[in-house]
Amino acid sequence: MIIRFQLDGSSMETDVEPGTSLLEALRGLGATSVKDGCSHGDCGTCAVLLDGRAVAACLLFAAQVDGSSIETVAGMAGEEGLHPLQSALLDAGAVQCGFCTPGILLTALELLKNNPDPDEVEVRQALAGNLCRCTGYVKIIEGVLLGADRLAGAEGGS
Amino acid sequence: MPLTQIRAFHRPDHIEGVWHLLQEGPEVRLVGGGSELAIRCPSEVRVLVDLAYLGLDRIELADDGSITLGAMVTLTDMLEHPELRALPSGVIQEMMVHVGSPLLRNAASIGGHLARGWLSDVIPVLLVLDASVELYDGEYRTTTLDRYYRDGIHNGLHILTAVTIPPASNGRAAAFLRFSRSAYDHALANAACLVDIEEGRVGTARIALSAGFRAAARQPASESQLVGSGFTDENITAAVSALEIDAHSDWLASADYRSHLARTLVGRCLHLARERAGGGS
Ligand SMILES: Cc1cc2nc3c(=O)[nH]c(=O)nc-3n(C[C@H](O)[C@H](O)[C@H](O)COP(=O)(O)OP(=O)(O)OC[C@H]3O[C@@H](n4cnc5c(N)ncnc54)[C@H](O)[C@@H]3O)c2cc1C
Ligand code: FES
Ligand code: FES
Repeated sequence: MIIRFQLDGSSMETDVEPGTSLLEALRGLGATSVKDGCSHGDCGTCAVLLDGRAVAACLLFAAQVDGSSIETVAGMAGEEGLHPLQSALLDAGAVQCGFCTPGILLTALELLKNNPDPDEVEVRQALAGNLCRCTGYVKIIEGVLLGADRLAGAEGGS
Repeated sequence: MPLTQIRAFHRPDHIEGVWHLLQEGPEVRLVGGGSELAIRCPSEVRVLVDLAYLGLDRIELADDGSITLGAMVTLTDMLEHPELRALPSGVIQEMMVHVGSPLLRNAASIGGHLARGWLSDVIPVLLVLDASVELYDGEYRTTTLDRYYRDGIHNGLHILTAVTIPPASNGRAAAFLRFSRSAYDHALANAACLVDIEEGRVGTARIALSAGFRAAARQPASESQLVGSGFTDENITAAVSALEIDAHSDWLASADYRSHLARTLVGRCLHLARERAGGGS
């Protein structure tokens, strides 16, 4: 079946089998920043923003996103460089092997859009579905809080 | 792996169209949020029917204070909705933050959650809030959530279209507790209760728990130990003793362990609700 959606701002049209997951469809289109860590909704590495909401791409059928807008980590950096949340994670030492990082960035991005000044508990709750096999959780949480500060600073300054 | 057995994905925009497809047999399944089907699709399923085009994604408030959720309202919509957050003791929020993670809640629908019926944190809370459900099976009908499970309606052919939570009178207190091996794991057991105290006595008492794969159930014998009595430690102990627990064993926990957990959780819920109702210690 043919489905159409926006992927990081570009219009996409693709022919998928009706039982294809969104994760399989995106990776098939070359969006390999969307990682397949478990295919069972357990790890969060496949997180994408679906109409602005963070979802696990392995828990959706591709057909469900027809007409929607999908954002991946590949669309996060702008012309001026990395997104402040991306550089905050790097500066906080929150990236080890990096496999969990795209999912964590997108999940945290949704959190900061809805709650620009989260406390540590709120960050932990938001990232409850994102596993890091390198187990660097403390740095990841510090990185998200640093990103929140930087985004608030950037907004305050502009 | 793609679910290669699926040969069609339909997107009807009216309920009769969904019903027509559903009657074709067990190879047809409804898709709410899709989170269960995407990972645990039964092998006989060949046709998926998406409910996203029926306009079932609204939360409506009635003049009498009741709240109706369309079946496609997401668990996140429920967590964020101010009227739902205002229900006794913030019990929806207290429960919902434990349901998976935002990645799950942003997609999972309340209709899919209730129709799935097992390993649920949401069901015990909606049971004590005395929720009812609207179904379509050729015609619309309404039943209590309690009967939906007790009479096995959730296993029959139907489309769950809405859930209604009646208004809560002032002075009610509620609580929800769960126990799982890790924060993100399914609960081994969970419990919810709702009480109100009128002139020092328990007016309403509702208790629901689940301790395994079957849907949560209300506990009438236990509730009747409290209604009309003082909300004392002794009566709470009697209510816990009267629980009828349908626990099962699996590799995560034995039925005995689950039963023990469930009793402990109900006891703690009742103590918490008493505290919240201002009923002393
Ligand atoms: C990783 C993970 C962690 C989880 N953790 C928790 C947890 O901690 N606590 C908890 O309570 N739950 C948990 N769950 C369960 C989760 O809440 C449910 O899978 C989800 O709510 C199902 O909703 P859905 O809309 O995605 O269902 P779907 O997959 O769309 O449907 C589920 C079933 O219901 C049927 N159906 C769908 N909509 C309707 C309808 N309107 N009428 C009739 N039948 C319908 C479908 O055909 C299917 O059989 C977890 C699930 C996953 C994947
Ligand atoms: S691959 Fe989707 S949650 Fe793990
Ligand atoms: S950095 Fe390696 S999985 Fe998180």
